[in-house]
Amino acid sequence: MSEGKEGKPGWIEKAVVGYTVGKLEKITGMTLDEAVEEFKKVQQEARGIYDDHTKSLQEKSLQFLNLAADTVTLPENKKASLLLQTGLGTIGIPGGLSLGDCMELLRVYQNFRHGDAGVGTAELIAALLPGTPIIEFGIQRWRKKHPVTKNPSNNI
Amino acid sequence: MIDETKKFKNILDKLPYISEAEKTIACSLYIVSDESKRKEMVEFYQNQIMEHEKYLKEYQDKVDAAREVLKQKIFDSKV
Repeated sequence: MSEGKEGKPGWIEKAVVGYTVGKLEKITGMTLDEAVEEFKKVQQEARGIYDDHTKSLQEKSLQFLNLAADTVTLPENKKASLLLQTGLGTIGIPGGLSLGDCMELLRVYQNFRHGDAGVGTAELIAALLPGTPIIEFGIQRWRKKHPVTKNPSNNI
Repeated sequence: MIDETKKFKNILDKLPYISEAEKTIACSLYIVSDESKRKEMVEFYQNQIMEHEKYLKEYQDKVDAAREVLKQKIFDSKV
Protein backbone atom coordinates (compact mmCIF):
# COMPACT_ATOMS: atom_id res chain seq x y z
CA MET A 1 0.00 0.00 0.00
CA SER A 2 1.30 3.44 -0.85
CA GLU A 3 2.17 5.70 2.05
CA GLY A 4 1.29 9.37 2.09
CA LYS A 5 2.54 12.14 4.30
CA GLU A 6 3.40 11.26 7.89
CA GLY A 7 3.00 7.55 7.15
CA LYS A 8 -0.71 7.76 6.37
CA PRO A 9 -1.93 5.61 3.51
CA GLY A 10 -2.16 7.67 0.33
CA TRP A 11 -5.84 6.94 -0.21
CA ILE A 12 -6.69 8.50 3.16
CA GLU A 13 -5.19 11.79 2.09
CA LYS A 14 -7.30 11.66 -1.05
CA ALA A 15 -10.38 10.65 0.91
CA VAL A 16 -10.20 13.55 3.29
CA VAL A 17 -10.04 16.11 0.53
CA GLY A 18 -13.31 18.03 0.79
CA TYR A 19 -14.01 16.81 4.30
CA THR A 20 -12.95 18.29 7.57
CA VAL A 21 -11.02 16.22 10.04
CA GLY A 22 -12.92 18.03 12.78
CA LYS A 23 -16.18 16.49 11.58
CA LEU A 24 -14.69 13.01 11.79
CA GLU A 25 -13.79 13.69 15.40
CA LYS A 26 -17.19 15.12 16.14
CA ILE A 27 -19.14 12.19 14.70
CA THR A 28 -16.93 9.21 15.55
CA GLY A 29 -15.17 10.63 18.60
CA MET A 30 -11.94 9.72 16.90
CA THR A 31 -9.30 11.92 15.32
CA LEU A 32 -7.93 11.03 11.91
CA ASP A 33 -4.65 9.99 13.50
CA GLU A 34 -6.49 7.71 15.93
CA ALA A 35 -8.50 6.19 13.10
CA VAL A 36 -5.33 5.57 11.13
CA GLU A 37 -3.67 4.05 14.20
CA GLU A 38 -6.62 1.73 14.62
CA PHE A 39 -6.30 0.64 11.02
CA LYS A 40 -2.57 0.07 11.43
CA LYS A 41 -3.20 -1.99 14.56
CA VAL A 42 -5.53 -4.32 12.65
CA GLN A 43 -3.00 -4.47 9.82
CA GLN A 44 -0.19 -5.41 12.24
CA GLU A 45 -2.32 -8.08 13.91
CA ALA A 46 -3.19 -9.58 10.52
CA ARG A 47 0.48 -9.50 9.57
CA GLY A 48 1.41 -11.26 12.82
CA ILE A 49 -1.05 -14.07 12.08
CA TYR A 50 0.27 -14.35 8.52
CA ASP A 51 3.86 -14.49 9.81
CA ASP A 52 2.93 -17.25 12.28
CA HIS A 53 1.38 -19.28 9.47
CA THR A 54 4.42 -18.71 7.27
CA LYS A 55 6.74 -19.82 10.07
CA SER A 56 4.66 -22.96 10.48
CA LEU A 57 4.92 -23.69 6.73
CA GLN A 58 8.66 -23.08 6.90
CA GLU A 59 9.04 -25.59 9.74
CA LYS A 60 6.92 -28.16 7.88
CA SER A 61 9.10 -27.68 4.81
CA LEU A 62 12.28 -28.23 6.79
CA GLN A 63 10.86 -31.33 8.47
CA PHE A 64 9.85 -32.70 5.08
CA LEU A 65 13.31 -32.03 3.69
CA ASN A 66 15.01 -33.70 6.65
CA LEU A 67 12.75 -36.71 6.32
CA ALA A 68 13.35 -36.88 2.57
CA ALA A 69 17.11 -36.72 3.19
CA ASP A 70 16.84 -39.59 5.65
CA THR A 71 14.73 -41.80 3.45
CA VAL A 72 16.13 -41.24 -0.03
CA THR A 73 17.84 -44.33 -1.39
CA LEU A 74 21.03 -43.80 -3.33
CA PRO A 75 22.78 -46.22 -5.68
CA GLU A 76 26.02 -47.73 -4.43
CA ASN A 77 28.16 -45.90 -6.98
CA LYS A 78 27.22 -42.47 -5.67
CA LYS A 79 30.14 -41.86 -3.38
CA ALA A 80 30.19 -38.14 -2.73
CA SER A 81 28.56 -36.76 0.31
CA LEU A 82 26.89 -33.43 0.68
CA LEU A 83 26.65 -31.40 3.81
CA LEU A 84 25.19 -27.94 3.59
CA GLN A 85 24.83 -25.24 6.16
CA THR A 86 21.46 -23.60 6.09
CA GLY A 87 20.17 -20.68 8.05
CA LEU A 88 18.01 -23.12 9.94
CA GLY A 89 20.68 -25.60 10.94
CA THR A 90 22.85 -28.26 9.39
CA ILE A 91 21.32 -30.84 7.15
CA GLY A 92 23.26 -33.92 6.18
CA ILE A 93 22.32 -35.76 3.03
CA PRO A 94 23.37 -39.38 3.35
CA GLY A 95 25.20 -40.89 0.43
CA GLY A 96 25.39 -37.88 -1.87
CA LEU A 97 25.41 -36.99 -5.51
CA SER A 98 26.96 -38.54 -8.57
CA LEU A 99 29.16 -36.45 -10.87
CA GLY A 100 26.29 -36.04 -13.29
CA ASP A 101 23.99 -35.01 -10.49
CA CYS A 102 26.47 -32.36 -9.32
CA MET A 103 26.85 -30.95 -12.81
CA GLU A 104 23.12 -30.88 -13.31
CA LEU A 105 22.59 -29.12 -10.02
CA LEU A 106 25.18 -26.54 -10.98
CA ARG A 107 23.56 -26.03 -14.36
CA VAL A 108 20.20 -25.48 -12.74
CA TYR A 109 21.72 -22.70 -10.71
CA GLN A 110 23.51 -21.43 -13.83
CA ASN A 111 26.44 -19.86 -12.10
CA PHE A 112 29.18 -22.41 -12.59
CA ARG A 113 32.33 -21.44 -14.47
CA HIS A 114 35.57 -23.36 -14.73
CA GLY A 115 37.89 -22.11 -12.00
CA ASP A 116 35.23 -19.80 -10.70
CA ALA A 117 33.35 -20.32 -7.50
CA GLY A 118 30.04 -18.52 -7.75
CA VAL A 119 27.61 -18.50 -4.87
CA GLY A 120 25.94 -21.79 -5.66
CA THR A 121 29.21 -23.38 -6.75
CA ALA A 122 31.07 -22.22 -3.66
CA GLU A 123 28.25 -23.62 -1.58
CA LEU A 124 28.52 -26.96 -3.30
CA ILE A 125 32.32 -27.11 -3.33
CA ALA A 126 32.43 -26.23 0.35
CA ALA A 127 29.89 -28.89 1.01
CA LEU A 128 31.72 -31.71 -0.71
CA LEU A 129 33.91 -33.81 1.49
CA PRO A 130 37.52 -32.57 1.66
CA GLY A 131 39.82 -34.29 -0.80
CA THR A 132 37.06 -35.36 -3.16
CA PRO A 133 38.12 -34.18 -6.67
CA ILE A 134 34.61 -34.59 -7.92
CA ILE A 135 34.14 -31.09 -9.37
CA GLU A 136 37.33 -31.09 -11.43
CA PHE A 137 36.68 -34.61 -12.64
CA GLY A 138 33.18 -33.56 -13.55
CA ILE A 139 34.48 -30.71 -15.69
CA GLN A 140 36.96 -32.96 -17.48
CA ARG A 141 34.23 -35.41 -18.25
CA TRP A 142 32.00 -32.62 -19.50
CA ARG A 143 34.81 -31.30 -21.75
CA LYS A 144 35.18 -34.67 -23.42
CA LYS A 145 31.54 -34.43 -24.35
CA HIS A 146 31.82 -30.78 -25.46
CA PRO A 147 35.24 -30.39 -27.19
CA VAL A 148 34.08 -27.31 -29.15
CA THR A 149 34.28 -25.12 -26.08
CA LYS A 150 37.85 -23.85 -25.89
CA ASN A 151 37.59 -21.00 -23.44
CA PRO A 152 37.72 -22.51 -19.97
CA SER A 153 35.81 -19.58 -18.53
CA ASN A 154 32.77 -20.26 -20.69
CA ASN A 155 29.62 -21.20 -18.89
CA ILE A 156 29.10 -24.88 -18.54
CA MET B 1 16.03 -34.14 -16.72
CA ILE B 2 17.46 -30.62 -16.42
CA ASP B 3 14.13 -29.15 -17.54
CA GLU B 4 12.35 -31.28 -14.99
CA THR B 5 14.65 -30.03 -12.22
CA LYS B 6 14.17 -26.45 -13.36
CA LYS B 7 10.41 -26.90 -13.16
CA PHE B 8 10.85 -28.19 -9.63
CA LYS B 9 13.00 -25.19 -8.73
CA ASN B 10 10.35 -22.89 -10.19
CA ILE B 11 7.87 -24.40 -7.75
CA LEU B 12 10.26 -23.72 -4.87
CA ASP B 13 10.77 -20.13 -6.06
CA LYS B 14 7.08 -19.46 -5.41
CA LEU B 15 7.64 -19.94 -1.69
CA PRO B 16 9.21 -16.77 -0.27
CA TYR B 17 10.08 -18.33 3.07
CA ILE B 18 12.34 -21.04 1.63
CA SER B 19 16.01 -20.03 1.64
CA GLU B 20 18.34 -20.50 -1.32
CA ALA B 21 20.32 -23.07 0.68
CA GLU B 22 17.15 -25.04 1.34
CA LYS B 23 16.26 -24.85 -2.35
CA THR B 24 19.70 -26.21 -3.25
CA ILE B 25 19.21 -29.13 -0.91
CA ALA B 26 15.69 -29.79 -2.14
CA CYS B 27 16.90 -29.73 -5.78
CA SER B 28 19.78 -32.08 -5.02
CA LEU B 29 17.39 -34.46 -3.28
CA TYR B 30 15.01 -34.20 -6.20
CA ILE B 31 17.77 -35.16 -8.63
CA VAL B 32 18.84 -38.25 -6.72
CA SER B 33 15.32 -39.40 -5.85
CA ASP B 34 13.28 -41.97 -7.70
CA GLU B 35 10.10 -41.13 -9.61
CA SER B 36 7.66 -41.71 -6.74
CA LYS B 37 9.72 -39.62 -4.33
CA ARG B 38 9.91 -36.81 -6.87
CA LYS B 39 6.17 -36.89 -7.26
CA GLU B 40 5.80 -36.72 -3.50
CA MET B 41 8.16 -33.73 -3.32
CA VAL B 42 6.29 -31.86 -6.07
CA GLU B 43 2.94 -32.53 -4.36
CA PHE B 44 4.30 -31.41 -0.99
CA TYR B 45 5.59 -28.08 -2.27
CA GLN B 46 2.52 -27.47 -4.43
CA ASN B 47 0.39 -27.95 -1.31
CA GLN B 48 2.64 -25.47 0.46
CA ILE B 49 2.02 -22.96 -2.32
CA MET B 50 -1.75 -23.40 -1.93
CA GLU B 51 -1.56 -23.04 1.86
CA HIS B 52 0.64 -19.98 1.56
CA GLU B 53 -1.73 -18.38 -0.94
CA LYS B 54 -4.63 -19.07 1.42
CA TYR B 55 -2.85 -17.38 4.36
CA LEU B 56 -1.80 -14.48 2.18
CA LYS B 57 -5.39 -13.98 1.04
CA GLU B 58 -6.64 -14.11 4.64
CA TYR B 59 -4.15 -11.37 5.52
CA GLN B 60 -5.15 -9.24 2.54
CA ASP B 61 -8.87 -9.70 3.26
CA LYS B 62 -8.44 -8.58 6.87
CA VAL B 63 -6.49 -5.51 5.84
CA ASP B 64 -9.02 -4.68 3.11
CA ALA B 65 -11.88 -5.01 5.61
CA ALA B 66 -10.12 -2.71 8.10
CA ARG B 67 -9.45 -0.25 5.29
CA GLU B 68 -13.14 -0.22 4.37
CA VAL B 69 -14.12 0.43 8.00
CA LEU B 70 -11.73 3.36 8.20
CA LYS B 71 -12.85 4.69 4.84
CA GLN B 72 -16.46 4.51 5.98
CA LYS B 73 -15.65 6.45 9.14
CA ILE B 74 -14.09 9.19 7.09
CA PHE B 75 -16.95 9.29 4.58
CA ASP B 76 -19.53 9.27 7.38
CA SER B 77 -18.01 12.46 8.70
CA LYS B 78 -19.27 14.31 5.62
CA VAL B 79 -22.28 16.42 6.51
